[in-house]
Amino acid sequence: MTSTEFTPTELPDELLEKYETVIGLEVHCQLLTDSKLFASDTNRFGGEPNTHISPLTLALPGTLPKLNQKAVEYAVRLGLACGCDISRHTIFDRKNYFYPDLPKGYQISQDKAPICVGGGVTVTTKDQENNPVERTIRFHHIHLEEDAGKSVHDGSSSDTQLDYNRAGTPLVEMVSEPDLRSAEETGAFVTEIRRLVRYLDISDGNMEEGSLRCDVNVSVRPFGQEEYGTKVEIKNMNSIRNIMRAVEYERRRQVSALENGDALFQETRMFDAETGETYGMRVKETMNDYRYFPDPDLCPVELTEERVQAIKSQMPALPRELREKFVSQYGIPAYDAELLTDTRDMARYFEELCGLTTHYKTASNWLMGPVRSYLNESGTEIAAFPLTPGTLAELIELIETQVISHSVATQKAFPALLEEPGRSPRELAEASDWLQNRNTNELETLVEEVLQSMPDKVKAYQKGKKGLMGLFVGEVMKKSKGKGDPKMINQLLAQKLN
Amino acid sequence: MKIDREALHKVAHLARLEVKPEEEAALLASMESVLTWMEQLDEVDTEGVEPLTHMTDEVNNWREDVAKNALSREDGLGNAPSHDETYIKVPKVIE
Amino acid sequence: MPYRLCFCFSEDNFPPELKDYQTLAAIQHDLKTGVSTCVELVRLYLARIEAEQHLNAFVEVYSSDSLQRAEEIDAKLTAGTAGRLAGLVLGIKDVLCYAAHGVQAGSKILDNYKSPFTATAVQRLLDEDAIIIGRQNCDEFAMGSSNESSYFGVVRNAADRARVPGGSSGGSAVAVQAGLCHASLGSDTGGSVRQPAAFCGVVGLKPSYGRVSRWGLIAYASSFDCIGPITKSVEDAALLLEIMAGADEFDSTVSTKQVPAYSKSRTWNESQKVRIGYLRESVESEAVAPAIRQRTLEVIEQLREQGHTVEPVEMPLLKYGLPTYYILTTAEASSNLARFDGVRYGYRSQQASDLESLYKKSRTEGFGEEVRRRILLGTFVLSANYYDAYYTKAQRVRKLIRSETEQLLTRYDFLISPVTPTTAFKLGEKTDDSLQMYLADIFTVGANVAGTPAIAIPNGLDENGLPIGLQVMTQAFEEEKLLSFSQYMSATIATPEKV
Repeated sequence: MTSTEFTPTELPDELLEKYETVIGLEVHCQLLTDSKLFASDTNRFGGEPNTHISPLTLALPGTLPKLNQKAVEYAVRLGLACGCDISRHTIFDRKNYFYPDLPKGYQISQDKAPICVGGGVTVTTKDQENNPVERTIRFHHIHLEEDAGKSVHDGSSSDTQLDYNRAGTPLVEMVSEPDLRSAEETGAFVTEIRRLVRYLDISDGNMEEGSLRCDVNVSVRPFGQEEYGTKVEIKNMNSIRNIMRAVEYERRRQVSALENGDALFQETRMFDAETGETYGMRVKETMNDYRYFPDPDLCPVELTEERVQAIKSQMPALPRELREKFVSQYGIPAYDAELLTDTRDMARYFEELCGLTTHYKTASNWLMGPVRSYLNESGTEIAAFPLTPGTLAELIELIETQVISHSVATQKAFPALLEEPGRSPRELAEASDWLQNRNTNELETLVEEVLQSMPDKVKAYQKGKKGLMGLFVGEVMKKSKGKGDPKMINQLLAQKLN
Repeated sequence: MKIDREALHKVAHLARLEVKPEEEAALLASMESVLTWMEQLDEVDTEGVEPLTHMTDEVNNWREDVAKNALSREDGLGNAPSHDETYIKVPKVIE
Repeated sequence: MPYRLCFCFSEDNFPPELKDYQTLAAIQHDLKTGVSTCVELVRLYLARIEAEQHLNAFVEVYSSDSLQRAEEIDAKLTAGTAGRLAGLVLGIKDVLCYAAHGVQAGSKILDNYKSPFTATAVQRLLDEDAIIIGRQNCDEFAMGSSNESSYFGVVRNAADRARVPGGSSGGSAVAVQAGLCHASLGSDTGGSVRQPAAFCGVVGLKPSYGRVSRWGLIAYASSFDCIGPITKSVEDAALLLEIMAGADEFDSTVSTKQVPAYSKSRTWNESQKVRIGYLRESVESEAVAPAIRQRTLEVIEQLREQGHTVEPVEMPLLKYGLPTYYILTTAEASSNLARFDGVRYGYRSQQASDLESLYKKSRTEGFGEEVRRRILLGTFVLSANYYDAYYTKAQRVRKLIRSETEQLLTRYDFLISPVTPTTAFKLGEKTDDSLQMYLADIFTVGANVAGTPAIAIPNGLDENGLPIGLQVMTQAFEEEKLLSFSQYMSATIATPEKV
């Protein structure tokens, strides 16, 4: 009897479904402070190599670290936003290992008493019936640590080049519990974290630039088994899509290995974006002993209740809070709220708008529709959107009071305003003669004219071709030079035809 | 405390130091005698005593978030055994 | 009674012009009255350094630099704008950074390294117009008690060239002993300022941990290292401490406590009697040289005669101070010295073919034997399987030793003891047995383990004419009291001229 060898890509679903995928993440996020975590050098992406340096960053003999207060504040903000316990007493530890991008030969991190403990983030995914499912993914802890420099590999030479601009940059590391169960959930989790750090203004959460990076731990186990399977770490993932692909591949690889009776090793693997596969490192990695011990060059951080409260009071509102507020206070659907809270700037804009008009749903539609299209096409962010909430609110009022039609608003007024952002929509509409014709008598005359000019179509409509209504409306609109109120036209046509 | 060759080489590797075969015996002997001598501390009853992790009473000794680059690139690279105008160089790191 | 330092010179080769100044005040008096100038002083010290080269106290001498500075300061003196340390010719231990100057911690691994910044403590002295005449030899990375492990060769005791000066600040102590500069700045991690001061018959002060900023001090053991002055008089030590001490934006562990004006402390009031404890073992143990025991007992007697209460004390944890010290300092050092890897500065091995060999060969070729041994020990005690048994255990014992010391210092104003169990031993006598060498620190490590301030003052000579030291220790941040009382003791009790 021949036994079937399974491969990751050719794996029957029934087998795959026997296993539960268990995923945990370590998310590294660079903080947007002006200076580094312990050194005063500039903390900014880019810059000529080795220009953001100091004696401390190069680990010159005789140098000592000094903690950046702002980094502590940002870490506390993050902890509060995630519902963590903020440690009243937190210390820094040295993580000792050798690597050229690590000048001191140790990284200052936190091991024994991290700044935030517990907490979590809620993610929403869809179940099989496409219903939203909410789950809270817990954190084990969040801690502060410094980033390493960069090794630059010059293809031609036999040397590696070292750039220390990034060395010492402040990072928060969020370590999750192994609560994630699918690639989709993992993607949603990272997306939510990215949104959160941007909302909190502590990071730009840019995965392409490396200000947000993830190490993913994946294992599988048969459903019902309590023991965790062998864990594999995939390092330095820098796009959400690739994280999801890597998780999916790794899940399949592990299941097929187990089904084939092969052994799985606890190892570090890399993801190949071209092939969509993970591969083991060529060089066998010896288990490193980091010899963590409390850094004697730094003193403890004690966070009093007052200090934490002060930080809390200055925190911006969070996406979840805003989503709930939009739904309850402005009565807009959850789906809209989700889109509108995608970025803090968009949410802010919406809120301002809702302060100027009570037509919340229309406001939402405008932002999700024409405004979003404009932003996408022009590559602008909402913060740089030319029209103020006041202008947009005025435009919305004009539509809602039927002064101008919706189509005139979107097709004519909106583009025109974008050209002349300072202009009042009402004034523009009047000057451009866009005011909607709501004169019943006039419109009734036009309707009569149209219906009389196409008697066979009228008959066809009355016989059942209801689609012709659009044609009639269109003709009346033409005759009214686009200023007829479509609703009214519809009503009049309906009266006359039926 | 007796340590064997393997333990010595493991520790030497962690510290990125070489131990030549002819040095091993003497080094093991001197380290063992020091480690054994250190074990005197077992005589001290430390039940319920917290480790002294920080010698200073100071807490929250932090600084304002102000950027300042205290070293020019030239000065920073100048002490390096191998460098060009932009980078410090080491033999290629094999991944 | 002024203490004559210069055993090394016979009458004929003693440069007659350079007076045997005990205090900076005396020098400044001569400068003010035109008897001397800074330039003259520097010239004379340079000549002495040259004449005494075989002592090997200096690694590098800043001849033109210091003469130029001297000129500038002479001008300032004339203009009346000179700082409080004008006229002070100072040497600094080869672990203190001085911008644009080489610093190597007595090691090959920092060959050709020039520091781009100056240590805070040094800068503060420079700001008051001190002149730095050169950097001084020391045990490699301050690890040693005899100055026999330096890359630059051994340093010799000026009292007997066949003997060690003590360590690790051997060069710094000898320089003051032999009159090669007026004062030195050393570092004390387990006794490295006090022990050589005792061996060389000069004053050495270890301030409280955190009293002086460590920014710019090449780190050996971060929670033990203290910068300390080596001088001829307690008065000078007090002045230097006052100027160096206090909060610093670069050091997170430095104390923010106010710095008293140590130099202006009123002289000890004779009528003020204190309670003094002395270590019983130190005067009874066979391990302490007879002459040292005797001198210590004589001091105790004299103090009693002066009306002070002097009682023997037990310190049951004293002997555990040494293993505690070695576990914790080797651990911290193994981490502090990881930055010396041949990548960004210093020595890089020519034998390196790839990254691994770059690290291993540079470090193995660059570090001396004792440093390598301590790095290995430190790595070992921090490693996963042994962390709790050694490192955490030592931290717990440290806490107990600190409490025991603090307790004693609530009952006694001062604790006194010899500085060392023997006087200066012969070169090569202890180098084969590292454990023997470590035991020499028995009386000094306590102050580093507990973080308390302690001073070594000269206390006579033994039968071979070798200096004996007396250590006085008090509660943390009580240097004012310590300096005042030890100055009083120097003046009234210690009678150095016992031949």
